[in-house]
Amino acid sequence: MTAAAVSLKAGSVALTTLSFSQRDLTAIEAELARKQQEAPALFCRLPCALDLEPLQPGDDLASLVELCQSYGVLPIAVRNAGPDWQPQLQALGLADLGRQPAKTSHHQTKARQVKIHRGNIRSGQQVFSDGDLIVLGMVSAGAEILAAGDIHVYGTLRGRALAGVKGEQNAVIGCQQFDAELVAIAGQYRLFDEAPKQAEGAVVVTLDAGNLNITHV
Amino acid sequence: MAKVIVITSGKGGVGKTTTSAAVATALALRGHRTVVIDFDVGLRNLDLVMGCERRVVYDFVNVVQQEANLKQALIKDKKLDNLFILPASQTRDKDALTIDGVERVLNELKETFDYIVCDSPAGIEHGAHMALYFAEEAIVVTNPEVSSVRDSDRIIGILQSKSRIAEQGGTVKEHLLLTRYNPERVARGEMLSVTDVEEILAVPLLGVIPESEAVLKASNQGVPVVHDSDSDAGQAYEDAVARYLGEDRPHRFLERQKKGFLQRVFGG
Repeated sequence: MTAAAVSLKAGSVALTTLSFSQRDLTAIEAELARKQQEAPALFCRLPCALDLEPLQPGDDLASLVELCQSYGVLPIAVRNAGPDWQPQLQALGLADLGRQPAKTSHHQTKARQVKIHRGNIRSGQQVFSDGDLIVLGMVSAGAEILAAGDIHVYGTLRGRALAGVKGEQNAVIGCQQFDAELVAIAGQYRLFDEAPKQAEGAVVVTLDAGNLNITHV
Repeated sequence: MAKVIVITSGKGGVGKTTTSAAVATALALRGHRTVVIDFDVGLRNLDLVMGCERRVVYDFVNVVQQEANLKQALIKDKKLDNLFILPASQTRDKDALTIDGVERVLNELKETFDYIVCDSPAGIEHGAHMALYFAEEAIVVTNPEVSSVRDSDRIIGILQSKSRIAEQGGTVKEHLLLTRYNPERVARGEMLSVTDVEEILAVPLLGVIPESEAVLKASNQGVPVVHDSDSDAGQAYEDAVARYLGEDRPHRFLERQKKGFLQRVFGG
């Protein structure tokens, strides 16, 4: 038996969508040129879908496709194209992806910065992270760790830990062994004057309606 | 290649100088060419403990400031031919030491010695920084007591951030030496136990030196305690140095000595 001349395989490929805020080709060209300058590696035969939402069926799609191609973008499909667009799509050989809401990269949440500290943090040392802070070691009494995001200590926390120092209420502090002098989330702090025997073992500290909750895990 | 070891603690009075003298002597007794340097400029003590205070003509500061050469300042030990002392100056202060000067002296010493033991002053200021800056290994001397443990923790942090090796991205090898250990007081809950200290500092234990009358006697006589091989402290230092050199020796003097019948009757 010979193999079929054609076989179909399903798969998904991430596809960039190009959206336009206006119909003016000169303005679009200027913007494309700027973006290409920013990321020349990205604009190298980049397959993409064109979002036709703001355009009118009377607009010259062929010129737009040509313009895109000259800036290293290869339109292979369109989104949000009404029935009036169909003749142009057929002529240019573009697929119609229908009416799908396109996510623009501006709406994607920026990945949080994570600082990983390998080793122990000794008395008198201070470690700060603008995002999350992960300590692979212990934090000695008299040491201080601060993070704009969460703090995780894979070891004993004996010093001070301040999470959400820029006001992040949802920040958490986690550690494998808890014997802290002070913990704080978004400015709410708690001191542990008496050695907290109750808090031995792994602990997560969260802020809930202005109260610091210390939970064993 | 010579190895630079710093004896440090942060806190004063925990036994750095006694340890420096004992460790250097024990290394020399094992045949290694050893020099011990007193970094405690202005409060020099090492020469007393080593029993060579009346033979100091030139000192470490003179050599650092190129007022004398090393040969003139090095003092040969009374008993051991392969042990030398580089004493501190009593009339100067710690600012007399500079990174460049100390480096030059250490480099010169490295040509002839196997081990360079640096006796650090207490504190975390300039003098202590000078003593630890060029260290490859550190013996952290700690008493079983919370303030001493806290200060040791602090000095380890400085060692791993401000020494040259740390600046170059490496780590200084740390050893924990617990001194003035009294098992009876530990049993009564008056002192931290070895396990407590190990847990807080997370540094490999090199040895435990029991609190001993032999230490005070040795200091006052100017004979390092390892020469007193009958004493518990002398033996404990000997063990520690053997371990440092890679021998596998069990830790001793951790438990209360069982008193014999006569001792119980007559006390002692």
